[in-house]
Amino acid sequence: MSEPHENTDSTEDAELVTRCQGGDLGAYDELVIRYRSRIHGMILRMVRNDADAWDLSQDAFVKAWKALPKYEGRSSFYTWLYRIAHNVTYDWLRKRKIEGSVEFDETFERTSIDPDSKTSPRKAEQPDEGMERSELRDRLETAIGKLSPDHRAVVLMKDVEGMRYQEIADTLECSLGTVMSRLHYARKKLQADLQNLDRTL
Amino acid sequence: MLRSSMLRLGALALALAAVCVSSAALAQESSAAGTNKESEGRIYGALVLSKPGEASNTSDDSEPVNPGTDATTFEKMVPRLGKAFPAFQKFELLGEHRQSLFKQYETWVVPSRDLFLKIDSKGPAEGGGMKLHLQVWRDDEVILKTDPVLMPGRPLFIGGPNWRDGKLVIVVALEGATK
Amino acid sequence: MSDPNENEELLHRLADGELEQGVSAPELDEVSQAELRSIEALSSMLKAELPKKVEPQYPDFFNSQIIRRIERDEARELHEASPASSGSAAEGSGSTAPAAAGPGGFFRWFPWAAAATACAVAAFLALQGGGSAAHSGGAVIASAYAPASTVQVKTWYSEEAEATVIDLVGLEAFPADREISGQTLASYPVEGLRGSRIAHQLSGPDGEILMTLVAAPGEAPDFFGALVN
Repeated sequence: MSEPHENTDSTEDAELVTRCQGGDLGAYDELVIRYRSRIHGMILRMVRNDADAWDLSQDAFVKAWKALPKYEGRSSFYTWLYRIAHNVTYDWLRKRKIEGSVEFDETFERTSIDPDSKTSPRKAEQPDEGMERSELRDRLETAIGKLSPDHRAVVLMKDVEGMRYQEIADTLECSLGTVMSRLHYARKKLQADLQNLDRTL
Repeated sequence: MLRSSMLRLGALALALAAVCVSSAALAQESSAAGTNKESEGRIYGALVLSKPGEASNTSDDSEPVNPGTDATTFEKMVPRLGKAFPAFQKFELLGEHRQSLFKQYETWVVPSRDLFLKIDSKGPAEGGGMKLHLQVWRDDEVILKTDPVLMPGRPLFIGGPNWRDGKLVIVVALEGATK
Repeated sequence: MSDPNENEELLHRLADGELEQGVSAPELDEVSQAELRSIEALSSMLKAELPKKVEPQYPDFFNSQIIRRIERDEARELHEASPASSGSAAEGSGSTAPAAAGPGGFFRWFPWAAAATACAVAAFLALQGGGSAAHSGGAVIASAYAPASTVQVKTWYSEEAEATVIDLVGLEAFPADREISGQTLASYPVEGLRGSRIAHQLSGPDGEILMTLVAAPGEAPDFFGALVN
């Protein structure tokens, strides 16, 4: 398993994880503090809705606690946690069949759904975090929202999280070829969508 | 209007036939080996309906095994299925799919549209085995994710949902490596 | 670079700094250079505009809710596992639950309970006669996971069957009125005009070839779409 791209004090993580595996919830609280913003950020980008991102982030952390006895340290704690969070989100998306995606899965295509459907998150629901939302960011998020979850996940992992191809493949439990194929498609689609937006604005 | 629809249908049928003919010709070229430089092996996936009752050869009292298939593969599995699932002694082959495994691409093994597999090869394992990431899909939902290492001659049986008076079992095996 | 797919992949690898080992950056023509710049620009834009971290609202509350859920779930599992001790377990999980931060008294004995449970599970497996798949020369299961929380995954190696078995317990049955059918397929790699392809051959009940469709590797062809629909 490839190591993560970012040095996240892996020694400290290892100590906290050992304590967690001994039942120390205080240590787990530390780990949640450490990684909640990244996990929540990833989930928010995928589901594009605050309330659901909140719930799913919590589900992911609870699930990770329960899975801790099986964590053997072969990958970094964050990579392992990220995979759990991704699986939780993906399972939820699959069940929800979120409207607004052109296709849920590149293999089993679904009927195209109006990308401007009302189930897209309203801007008023975004958290007031003091961040200034640029027009460009809105456009990017709209374009990303039109991608299927499969494509969205790969492009966010690569271009926002900065993960390496092999890390993405390991996290998504798919082949490198699949990662490349989805990344190409996603970037092409984003380029096309952003160009279309430029023409209409 | 009816005539133009029929003309369109006819044209479509001709085009489809042309694709099928040319594709069949292409397939024949590679069918002998079943592999090329990019594939890492062959995988066999089958969907079997397992029922309780007295042990019997499935061809006696159920749908005949498709003579177009490699009947020996399923027939070899029957006694082993009986030992793996002692509660069942009748096994009916519903469908089977033989596929190449690629390192770079995911592989869909679809013995049935109702239960099927997505497999990613993670490379060879010692002893001629294959490391896989395998997902079992039921309609459009993943019901199992697993990382098996398949060894030659030692299949993987996956007990799935019940249906009518039996249980659906998926068989996964490396093809071409019989024991 | 005659294959357009290979060229495209190379550009993405260049943009991402992920050229394969032993592959040096080639000289690119103008069109490829423009495409490379475009990929780099998009990538930079996404990285700059979309923050990696988004703190959840009310972060302390977020944390305390997680801890509380864990404590409740643990208490419920223990209560279900040992009804005789339900009184003490319930007390530990109610309003007297420890504060979110720091180890609570409730969890001091958790490691011991976990150890006892592990021993019981090991004894149960030994009695089943199923050996460890990892030691028997059969298929090895590195991990097995069912997304549905109501489904239990059981794995074992059957020495008699010389097969690894995974059983999904608790799966919803297919309705009796549903027609479950199968198909006989054989898929082979072929070399087409656009590189490697897969030919999927559907056979009928008498072994006759009904249909052959060709698709790119990694893609299920429309063939399957026609079958599933």
